Amino acid sequence: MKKLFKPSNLPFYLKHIILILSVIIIYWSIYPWSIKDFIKRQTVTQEMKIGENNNYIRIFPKDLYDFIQEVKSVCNQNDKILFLSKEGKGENDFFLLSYELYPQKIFWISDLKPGSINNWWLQNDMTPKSIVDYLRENEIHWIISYGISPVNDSSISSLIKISNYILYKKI
Amino acid sequence: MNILLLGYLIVGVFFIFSIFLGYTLLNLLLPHRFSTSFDFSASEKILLSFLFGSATITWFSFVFLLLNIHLWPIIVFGLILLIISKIQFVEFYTSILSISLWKKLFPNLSKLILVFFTGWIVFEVFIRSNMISDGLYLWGFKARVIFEGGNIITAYFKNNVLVWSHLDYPLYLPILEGLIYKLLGSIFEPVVFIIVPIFYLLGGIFIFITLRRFFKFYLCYLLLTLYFFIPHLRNIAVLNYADIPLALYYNVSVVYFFLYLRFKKSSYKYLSIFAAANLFWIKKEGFILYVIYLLGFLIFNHIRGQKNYLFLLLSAIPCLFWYFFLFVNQVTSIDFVTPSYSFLINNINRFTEIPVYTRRLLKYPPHWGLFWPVLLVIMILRYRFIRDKSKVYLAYSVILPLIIYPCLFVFSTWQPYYEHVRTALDRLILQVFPTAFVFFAIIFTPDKYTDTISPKGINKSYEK
Repeated sequence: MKKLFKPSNLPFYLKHIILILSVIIIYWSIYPWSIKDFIKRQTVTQEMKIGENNNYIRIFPKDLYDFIQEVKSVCNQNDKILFLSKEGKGENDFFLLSYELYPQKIFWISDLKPGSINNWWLQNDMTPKSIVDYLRENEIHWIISYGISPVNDSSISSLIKISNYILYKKI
Repeated sequence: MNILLLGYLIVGVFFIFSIFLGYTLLNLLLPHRFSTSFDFSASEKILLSFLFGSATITWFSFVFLLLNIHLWPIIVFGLILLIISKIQFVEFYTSILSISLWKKLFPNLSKLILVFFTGWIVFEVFIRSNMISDGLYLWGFKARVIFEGGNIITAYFKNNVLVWSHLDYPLYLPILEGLIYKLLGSIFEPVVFIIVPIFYLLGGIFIFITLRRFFKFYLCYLLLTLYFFIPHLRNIAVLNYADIPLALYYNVSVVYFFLYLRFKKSSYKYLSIFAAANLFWIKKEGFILYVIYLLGFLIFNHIRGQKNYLFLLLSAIPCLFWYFFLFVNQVTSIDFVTPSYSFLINNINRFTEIPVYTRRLLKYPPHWGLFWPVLLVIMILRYRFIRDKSKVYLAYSVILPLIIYPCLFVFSTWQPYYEHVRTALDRLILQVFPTAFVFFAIIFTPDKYTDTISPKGINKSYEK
């Protein structure tokens, strides 16, 4: 019996399996935070929905995915798009829109205070007047607003609304 | 055919092509013939071939992109190089891929560990990975730009609308992914998201190969498993960041210079320089690691021959080219300001706050477990053991980046700047982690293992 439990007398693979299992057990007993972290990530992932279009898979939020498909169907490649949001909300949405709609140019104006010396958004106080002024001064074909009420102006008309996203066409 | 399977097939073919190309180049460049060298094990040769092959492919692809030439010439160039180098595929097969050597490549348990972790990683890429991250809209975006084609300078580097995508980030990973998109014919992220996890596995294999030179294999398996289990490494491996490839390249450059100091084999030194020459090309912070490496080389290298300096100068040419390119196109960093005295004085209080954040991050158990505190304790307890030049060099390569990286955030443009520290510093530390792990293993184990070693890495007295 004593001989059997000597490491050198154990079968080759059993020895290795015991080694691996012991490492795993030590690991999980010392670091229970990892399990919590893992479960937390699972919950986050389940909130995402998978959108499908032929062979494309995107793990985006479903409403954003649907909105992007609608935008793609109406915009031309050389069109310029303006993205509007307040207080810096929708930063990730701006990135995802830029990623999905490339090579279309997307500008972002926001009332977000300068977060860095070189900003990637154009600062604007986001009052209806300043937005309309900006639209008149710049050549913009489409406007995407995220979570803000639409601008009342005769030069723009609402086209598509999905969840918090609204697409306007500049006439 | 299922596009995912086709994608993985293309990734496999691309990797094999990189291995052949790297193998050929190393045979041509190293003073001693790489294919017949006994200084490297078979799996080590494959791994190094892949690293140098992939780096060469991305460099030539970048030059072709600047010349606005389609990326296919790189394949032709590679094939020509293979033919002129007179490397016969039969030789490659018999020396590396033969059945008997296959067992030596991945003996017994390492096969099991690798299969287990490969399965785990593939599972995590699909189930756990959160594709909405910088991995997609910074690194993945660049790959998309390369796939869409056009003149990269006007379409990307001079496009002010795309400033958010960090124009100054190097293009190693995006070009690898863009090439795979080109071969696939469409953009399909799950295929290219497998590349960084492969680097994670390669990093583990490299650690195993390195430790196998010093320790008997049970201890190596134990350390390998511990390495794979570090939570932050797994978290980042599924997010398509370039930190893990950079960590592998840095580890290769430091470990080979360490081996050179130990065994005085010139092939180790040249390999180390080749790996270090690619550091800045993988991630922006690689430049700092490259400077640290160069300083280390000049301080610790005992032979001060002209040939060494010539090699160092040659290795700096790609780096100079890249930064000249950025300078000409007026591409600047949006995360950090150019260091200036006035900015430093205005933000001097950060010097007192950053060490507190750094300490908190290093002690954060869900990311690092207890690795850093344990390393610190071991270093204090066994400081007498860090006595020869090679071990001091390892300590230097681990400690200096850990001092310099937090200091970078003094020049951060973020408001508040600690958000930048919280987001980025952990990943910067990750770049040094594999090297720190090797250092930990070397100083942790008893003297009898590390002091009686042979260059071939197989010490018969500890084999049993």
